[in-house]
Amino acid sequence: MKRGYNYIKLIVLVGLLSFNACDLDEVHYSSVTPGTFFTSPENTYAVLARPFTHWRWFIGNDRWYLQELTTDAMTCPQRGDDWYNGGEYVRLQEHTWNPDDRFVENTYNGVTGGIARTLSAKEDLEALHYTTIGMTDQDKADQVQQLETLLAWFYMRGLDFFGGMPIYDSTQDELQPRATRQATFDHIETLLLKAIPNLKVKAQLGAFEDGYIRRAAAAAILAELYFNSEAYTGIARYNDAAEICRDIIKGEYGPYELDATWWGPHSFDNDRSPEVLWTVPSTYGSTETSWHWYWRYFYHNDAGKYFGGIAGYGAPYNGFMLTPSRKPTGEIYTEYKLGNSYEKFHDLDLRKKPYVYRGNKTYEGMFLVGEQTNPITGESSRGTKLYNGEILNLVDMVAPFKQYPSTLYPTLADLPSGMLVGEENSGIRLVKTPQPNLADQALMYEPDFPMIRLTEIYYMLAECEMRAGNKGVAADLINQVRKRNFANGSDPAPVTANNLDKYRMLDEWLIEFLGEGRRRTDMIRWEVFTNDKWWAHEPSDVTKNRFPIPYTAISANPLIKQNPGYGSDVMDD
Amino acid sequence: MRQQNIKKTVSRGIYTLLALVIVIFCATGMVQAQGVSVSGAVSDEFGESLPGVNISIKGTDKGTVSDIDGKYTLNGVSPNDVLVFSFIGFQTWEENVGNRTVLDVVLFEFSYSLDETVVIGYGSLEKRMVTSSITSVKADDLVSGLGGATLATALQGKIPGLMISNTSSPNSSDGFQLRGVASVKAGQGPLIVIDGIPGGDIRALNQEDIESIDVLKDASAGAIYGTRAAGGVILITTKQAKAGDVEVKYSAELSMEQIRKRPELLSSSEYVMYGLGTDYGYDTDWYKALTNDNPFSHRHVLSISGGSKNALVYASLSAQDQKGIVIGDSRKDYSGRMNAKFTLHDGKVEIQARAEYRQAQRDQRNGSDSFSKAMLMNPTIPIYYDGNESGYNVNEIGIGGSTSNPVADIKLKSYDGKDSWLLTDASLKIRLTDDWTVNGTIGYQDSKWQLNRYTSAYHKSSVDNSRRGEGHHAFDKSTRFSADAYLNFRKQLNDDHYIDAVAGYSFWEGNREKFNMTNYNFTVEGVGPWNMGDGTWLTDGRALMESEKYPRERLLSMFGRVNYTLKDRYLLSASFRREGSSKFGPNNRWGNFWAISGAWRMLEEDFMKDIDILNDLKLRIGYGVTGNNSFDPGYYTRMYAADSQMYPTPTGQWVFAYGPARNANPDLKWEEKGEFNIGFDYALLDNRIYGKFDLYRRKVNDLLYTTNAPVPPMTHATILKNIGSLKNNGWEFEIGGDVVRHKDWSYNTIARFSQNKSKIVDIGESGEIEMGAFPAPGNPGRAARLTNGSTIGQFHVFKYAGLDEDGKWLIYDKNGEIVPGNSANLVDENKRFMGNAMPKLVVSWDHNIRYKKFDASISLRSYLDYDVYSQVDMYYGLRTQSQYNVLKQAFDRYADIDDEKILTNVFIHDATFLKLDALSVGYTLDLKKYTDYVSKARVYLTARDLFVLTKYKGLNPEVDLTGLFPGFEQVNDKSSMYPQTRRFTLGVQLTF
Repeated sequence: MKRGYNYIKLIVLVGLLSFNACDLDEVHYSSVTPGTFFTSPENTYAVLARPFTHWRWFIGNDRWYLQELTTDAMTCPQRGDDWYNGGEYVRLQEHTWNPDDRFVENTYNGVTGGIARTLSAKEDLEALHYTTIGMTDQDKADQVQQLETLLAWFYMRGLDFFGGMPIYDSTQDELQPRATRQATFDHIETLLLKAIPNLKVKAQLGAFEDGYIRRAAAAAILAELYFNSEAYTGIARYNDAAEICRDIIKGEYGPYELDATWWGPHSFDNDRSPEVLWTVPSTYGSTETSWHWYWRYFYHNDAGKYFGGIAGYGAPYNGFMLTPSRKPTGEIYTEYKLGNSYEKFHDLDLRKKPYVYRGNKTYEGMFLVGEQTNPITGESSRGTKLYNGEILNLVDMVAPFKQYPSTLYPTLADLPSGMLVGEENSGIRLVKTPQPNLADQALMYEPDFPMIRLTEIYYMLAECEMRAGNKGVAADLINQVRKRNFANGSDPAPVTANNLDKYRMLDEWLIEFLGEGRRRTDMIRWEVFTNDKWWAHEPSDVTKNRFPIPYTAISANPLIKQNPGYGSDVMDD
Repeated sequence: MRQQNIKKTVSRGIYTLLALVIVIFCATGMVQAQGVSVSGAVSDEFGESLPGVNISIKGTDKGTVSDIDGKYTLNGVSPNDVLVFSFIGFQTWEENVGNRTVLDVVLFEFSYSLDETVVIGYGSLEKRMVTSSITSVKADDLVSGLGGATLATALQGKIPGLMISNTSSPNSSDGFQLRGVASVKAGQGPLIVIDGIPGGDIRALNQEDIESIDVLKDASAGAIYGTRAAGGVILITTKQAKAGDVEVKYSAELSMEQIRKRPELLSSSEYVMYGLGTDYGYDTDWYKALTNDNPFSHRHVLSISGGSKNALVYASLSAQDQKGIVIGDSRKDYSGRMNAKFTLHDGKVEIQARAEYRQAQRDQRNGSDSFSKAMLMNPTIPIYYDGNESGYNVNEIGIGGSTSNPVADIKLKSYDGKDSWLLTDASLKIRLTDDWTVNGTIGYQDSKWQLNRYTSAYHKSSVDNSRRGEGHHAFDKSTRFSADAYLNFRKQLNDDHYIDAVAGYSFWEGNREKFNMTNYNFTVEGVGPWNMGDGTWLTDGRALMESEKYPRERLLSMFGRVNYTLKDRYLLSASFRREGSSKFGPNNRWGNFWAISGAWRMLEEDFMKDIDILNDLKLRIGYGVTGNNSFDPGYYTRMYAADSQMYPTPTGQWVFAYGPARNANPDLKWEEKGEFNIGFDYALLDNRIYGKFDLYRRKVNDLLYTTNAPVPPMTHATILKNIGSLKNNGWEFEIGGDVVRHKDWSYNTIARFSQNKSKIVDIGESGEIEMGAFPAPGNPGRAARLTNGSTIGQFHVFKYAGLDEDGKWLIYDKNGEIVPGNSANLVDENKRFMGNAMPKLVVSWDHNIRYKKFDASISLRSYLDYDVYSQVDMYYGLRTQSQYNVLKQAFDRYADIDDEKILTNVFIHDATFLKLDALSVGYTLDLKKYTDYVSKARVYLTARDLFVLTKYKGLNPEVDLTGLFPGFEQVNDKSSMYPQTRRFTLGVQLTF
């Protein structure tokens, strides 16, 4: 039995050892608590950056689709077995989206996620004593106010897409119902008015834009809010918008001026363009650093050859294009005032050329158009589907040309044009962000996306002046920008007090900001988004100026009510 | 009308089935055997000799015991004597001697025995003492040769109330669910306890190494395992050697598979005829191209066992090579197990040590979307193209952009994944006195996943990115340590009172870490992923590297249980476990789990004594509370984690952005399940008919669920929280019978019936949970929703109201009016709850037949009266604008529909089926007469999933019925898209 006691001792020992290890706190290895995170100035930027990386993601994809593919500027027709996708792109163009459409859901989540992440970062930075890690209280005020500005910006996107949003001041708040559009507007205005004076001012003209918010950018956001106030709340605030624009142009918010060239704000070194107020930073490297979402969606999967041998992240899907200007017969559409994106560019416009990279960061043209053979390398992009093996020839038309001539379509005039009959070669593609050739592949993701540039301030002011009856002043402002689009600055078709009307103004917005993700907002401001027609769009219903609230959001917060036009239990604002 | 007919057919089917069962069980007891002699041999029905059998002359104390070969001689027997053969676990046999001198006897093992041992967690009980709902399966009852990814295939249908979902892939993962959905969070499955070590992985085990499987179904049994027992407990005991000669067994199996059912897609000529899309001029059967013809698998298991009374060793080795029906889907396994048991100091000290290592080398090049791609592909596109260096049509004819060749995708990759498991445990048991025993067990488990993958330079992903190949390594390791110690007291106080009590503590710790790396653009194709540094993307700063270590997880508990028996008739059991988990915040860490159950062995009562036909009748009643904490650690503290994105600081240096890792929830607490179970066990007619019945009601409170979070104030779109409660009712009934017991032939059968219904009682403030969105293409939305009071298994869809003259959908709106199914009306308020995915009855029916040396078994299974929503129908059954290929029904059953798919009840079909799970035929050869080296050989042929009888209109009616949103035949899920096969196995077992 003595041995038995030895065994018992052993068991007791094992037991004691185990009990010794009875600490039930979680031990973390790969993540850190906010309390132990801040040890250096870089850490504050890591936290400040989190809502900004969300914002960089936000600018592309779904949010962009809702702003562009629903309009007269750009579209995504079905091409053979590509891009039908259950009709989701047709629904965008026809304004028949529903609350379950992923574009709508992702956009709503993008807006609310942006607000929440910004609030969260703001709270953490507000709680930090900057002096303990070698920073100043002024640094803190700047960082916190940048976040207030970003918060305002996300709320404004929400107001633009969905109308009134639930307003939160903290991540600790109780659940909120949606505020009215006016209350949401007022909240944005309050945030910006408080933030602007606390933000840092750009030090010198053409200095590096790093992706953070300076005073001028916040002021521009406030101007945008006033500019669209009538669409958002029914109360026009064009004069308030104009005042801020004038101050920005005067340099009251820092040194900025129009870029001398049309490509300056979009090129490889555009983070130093004097025109840029706020930029989405991008650089070559792994996917974590680059702004490149458009590559797969705009270009043909063999487009790398035309571009001079580069390869992007994955095969492009041959998707989004300029809304066609021409009928299958080649005639330009005259039935619509809107649309005709490519033909809205004057023939002498330097941008209206096939894009060609000339080496050493220089290039010309802004489109993929016509035969896709690179004039320098002689290499061609070829079709793989219906145009298998053929050199692609991108046309400003959408029609089933491969079925012509046939008994069904004996003449060109018989060919239909619409969202379901596109082919591999349909449509002109936008190359606003330049692509290098293989030798300069490392430049591929150098161009940033200019989120706010001075041209927008000029155009906003021009539209305000126009609405105030000062068409001459308006024309002059636009022409100051336009001239850089023509050789020797000589504009063959300048805007004049006589030719400036609603549609000319819309055309100027179209050609200058083509593909920059703002078309829908401009169309709503001019009340043409749902009332007018263009290529494949018949007038829809005024309720389509706002997107539906996705069901997932309503299920997460039952206080949220739907927008009119998408069911019966709606918010009566 | 049609619906009613189906119901009628179904209910008629149920009655017929019941009638048949009754007839068969009534036939029991009609057959008897005869014979006479004085010396002979005793064996079991499989010809295995039985040593130690008592042989006596009835009415005297004269007798003998059979020797090691089962032989006996008994002198002085008169022809009028009756010999009585008795042996534990076997039916006592009487033979009239008559004028015989040689009397060989076959004893039948009881299908039902009250003396059988049932494992209950921290101990075991005789079956007669059990007070809760436990189903025990002996390894012998599992059919050999079924193959499959794990032994779950062999368990299918054997435990009433246990639903198993898997596919015929050798790399299938199995889902288990006992008695309906127990929790809404992942981890609804039962706790697997292997040889007393909780949290085991069933994938590590060989069927041949298993002794028995005991399933603790109700909470009164499971509560001793506390927090992890909410979904029930499956206790697996591996084999231990028996004292005696060394026994060597070898079994080999050869298997072959064929597709049982394949989707009927349009052929290339039909595709062209209907003008669905471009004609590229080739004729390809994409589905066929993804499958192997009759893949061949084989499997070998060798076991050695033996030892003396004080040292027993069981060892086994196995190897198998399984090829799936799908190309790029195969698996090779090697495993070894050693179970040793030593007894010291006259049996006072017992030491057991077990270790197993297993590795499964997996080739899983096919993806979850391989089949959906193959079904959608234009059949006029070729697989091969000479112009491509690889020989495949990678980026040429009809392929490009987002379209890819699913065959080339598999062929131009290498995939070498290795799962390995190390399971070890050691236990020490000391009998301090006759009444007191102390036990200590420590267990260590280590599971690893290692993957080396190389994607060729000719693969589309490489071509698209102008890079020469992609190399990828991944590693994932989990370790678990557990230590338990407990004290056991057993005493028969006097004739009336018996106590069996246990008390102890348990410690458990789990850790997990992983890393992976990916590099691209390699100089040499031939070395695959084995020179990772060579890829140029590393120097470009575009290679990927990730690592993570999960928060440490711990569980600590004290537990106790008392079983008390009064007069062998009134049984009472109570257990308690107090458990703390590191996954919860300090205030909510500890939970108390308890159970109380009782049983009444009515047969022992005087008033029952006269009922001769009854051999056992026991009434059981119990209530228990179990918990659930099955979610990843790290939820209660607010943590920062790096975003996948970088952003520059003002100095232009790129840093990773840091933000909240997830929505933290400091208020997380235990999910608790209360379960009430009432039932009875019965045996009658000389134990020839037996079975049990159980009725249960469960309520789960503080359900843990990852639900949509309101953003803001939350930062992430989902949050894990305790949301509400769920109710779960059902019953199980089992009836077995030894219908025929005869020296030459026997027949026994067992039928199991069960039904379960789950209801949401309350899901908190948000009031609803929606299923995940249907997959692309298109955004059809979500087809199921749970609200307070809703039944799990209902679909939430638009009600079909016909088609307009253009073939466009018409639906009923919320007011019952017929409206067009366009976007204006496709809003949630027009959806309604329809259908029912939970079977009205789940039936399984096994038969075992023996004739002399032949044996056969048949396992049938049926789910009656339930509905499945077929995404296959919806996504591939309608002609659309897409130019994708479609099922033939698009121009047949659904020919009138000319519209984009919507969520309607048109795609909900009755899925009632009857399946022949297994059919096995065997022959046993006694080789002792012919050779000294092999004593016995058994040859068998097993067919798995031979047929399915159903009127279901999709591909496979047996869809996943576990979880909150059961009943969907999903298109982007391997489990529903993997081909259904028939499998034939030829096996031989040699005993040396």
